[in-house]
Amino acid sequence: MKQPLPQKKKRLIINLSLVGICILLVAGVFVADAIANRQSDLELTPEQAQTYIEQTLASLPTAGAECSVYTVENTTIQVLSVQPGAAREFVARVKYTTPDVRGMYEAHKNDLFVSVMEYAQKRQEQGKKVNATGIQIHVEGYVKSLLEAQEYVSGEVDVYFYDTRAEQPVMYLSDEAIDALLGGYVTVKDDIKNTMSFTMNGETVSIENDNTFRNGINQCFGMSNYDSEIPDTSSPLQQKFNDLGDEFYRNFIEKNRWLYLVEGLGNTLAITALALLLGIVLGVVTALIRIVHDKTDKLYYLDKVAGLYISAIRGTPVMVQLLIIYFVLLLPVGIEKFPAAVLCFGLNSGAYVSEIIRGGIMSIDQGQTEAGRSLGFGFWPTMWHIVIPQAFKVVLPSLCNEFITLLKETSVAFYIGVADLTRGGIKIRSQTYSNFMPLLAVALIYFVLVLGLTKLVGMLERRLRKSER
Amino acid sequence: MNGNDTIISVRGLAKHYDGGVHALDGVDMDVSRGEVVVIIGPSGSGKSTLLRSLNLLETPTSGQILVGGVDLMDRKTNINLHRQKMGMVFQHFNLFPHMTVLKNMTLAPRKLLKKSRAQAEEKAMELLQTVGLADRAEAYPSQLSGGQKQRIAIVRALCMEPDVMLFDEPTSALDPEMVGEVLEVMKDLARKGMTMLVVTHEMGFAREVATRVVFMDGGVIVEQGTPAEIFDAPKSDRLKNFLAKVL
Repeated sequence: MKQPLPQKKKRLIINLSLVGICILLVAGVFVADAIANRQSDLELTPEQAQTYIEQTLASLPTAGAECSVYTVENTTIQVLSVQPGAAREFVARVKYTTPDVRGMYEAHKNDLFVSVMEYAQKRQEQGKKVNATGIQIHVEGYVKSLLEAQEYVSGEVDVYFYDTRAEQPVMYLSDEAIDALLGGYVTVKDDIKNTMSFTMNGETVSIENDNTFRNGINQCFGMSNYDSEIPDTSSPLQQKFNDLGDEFYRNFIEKNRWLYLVEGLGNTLAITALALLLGIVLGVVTALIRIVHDKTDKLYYLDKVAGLYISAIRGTPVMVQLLIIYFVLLLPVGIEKFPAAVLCFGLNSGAYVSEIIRGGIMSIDQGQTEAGRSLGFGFWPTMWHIVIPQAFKVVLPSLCNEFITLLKETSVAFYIGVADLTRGGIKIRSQTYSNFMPLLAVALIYFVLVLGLTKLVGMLERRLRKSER
Repeated sequence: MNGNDTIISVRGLAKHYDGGVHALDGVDMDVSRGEVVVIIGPSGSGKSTLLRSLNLLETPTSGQILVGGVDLMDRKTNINLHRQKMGMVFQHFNLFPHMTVLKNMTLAPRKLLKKSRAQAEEKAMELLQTVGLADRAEAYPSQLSGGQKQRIAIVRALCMEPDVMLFDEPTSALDPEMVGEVLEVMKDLARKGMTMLVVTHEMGFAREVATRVVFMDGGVIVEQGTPAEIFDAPKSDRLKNFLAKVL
């Protein structure tokens, strides 16, 4: 009793360090990947940056949005320098000169809304409809003339480019950058969107519920092709990892799909347990019939039936047995899938259990029986008091292994539509169209179950061997 | 029942195996109460088969076995009841490995004689005392030496308080230094007047303890008599030949 404990501890430490090493390796791969992909191998010259930015700005205005067109056309930029930044980015320092949109808006905001209001009232008096495009056409010329009268502002701003592993760096137009480059453009658009009232003839007019007003004015400053998402610069490995996360979410979390697996696992365990019970009963009965026949030449016909049953079960695939039992024998009688599966796997297991038990009983020395009989015990009492308790120890590990085999074999139950664990995985697969995650999860659950059971059998075996001494 | 209290009477006993082997080929034998009969003979002579036939561990092909006047070959006879009265000791001990010594000894008395646990254990401890193994009552068979196992096997049979004890080569599987302790127990038993049938190769034991020695060969009894007659004045050539080899 002195040695085993430190030994166990040692083994635990070895195991833990192995797991640790594995974790470190995986982490290392990710870190190495991150380091290797940290810097871009693309080049971006100030001239290129200038072209990209100009092209991008030119593509922004919505067709027909005159104010936007005017603002962009009258904006001049000059890229002063391009510096490589952290994490695969380039920072272009841009000097700009642009119409002061914000100054114009702040000076004439109320007039703008009053003008729109007057237009709308006129239309209504004429019995005509007021829509956003109408408002846009009405206001556009007015606003443009205001803009033309406006001073220019200038300054410097950083524009970011990212290496997304495409041929060229991808430009990222942040709200701040556009706002600066186009003279407070974004701020103005936001303000229009948030304006709920204005003053007309000394009275406050609420347009809280009148989106047409705001939309009409905003359309003068329309912009398309404007996406403020930062380009994804993650490496292929990181992308795979992110995809895995998404996949996991889709397959298990979304719509609580993991419940399919839980429910399936419950059914698998229930089928296995019930089938094992049935199998043990059948197995013990047939084993005893065959042994009695072997030893006493009685029970000739029962022995023949038992022999036929065992060879029929062992000679055909369990899948075929399941199909025959359910579709040929039980479905016409109206018996449900679940009891059909239990019956099939119970019958199947019974044949194997029978052979295991027979083997166990046969393995007990004939002398034990003779000793029992010579003391005056009959055949059955000898079996009960002397042979079976010894055979039990021999048989137990094999029985447990049969249990493990059975657990795995029940996976074919999905074929007749029993909602077992395998079926749970298949259900998820049919909803998400992904194979990897649901099937791997199913395999993993079986594996963990089997691993746990195997461990238990090992412990049981060791315990039994100890009690012998 | 003739005058001197015959307990076993065998007539024309034969055991034929498929394939023409005649393990027993017409054996007649009477054993009286209190006799110690030692059966000797070369291997394959049928002596073990004869012994095992006496409690039907072997089923004879033909012949008659009367024990206490009851015909064992009669299908109506309850053989289990008769086996209770006939203790058997095997070459390989056949102790029950999953039980302690005490349980080995008390199982049959409790289940078959319906003795209480206390009664059965008291009797068992008493017998263990006589063979000097009282301290091993709680041991498992695997913890015992061969000689100890065989002594336990003998007292296990005695727990059933049998009328006859059958010994089937009780010392053949033992290391030589353990033979003595087992023979000692058997001698003691003989002195107490137990009716015994012993198949053995221990000629010293036969000469010292036997009231009668039976020499078998080829499935028949060739010669029988007192130890002096058999060992000192053998008549048949087969016996002379056998003795020349073993003595």
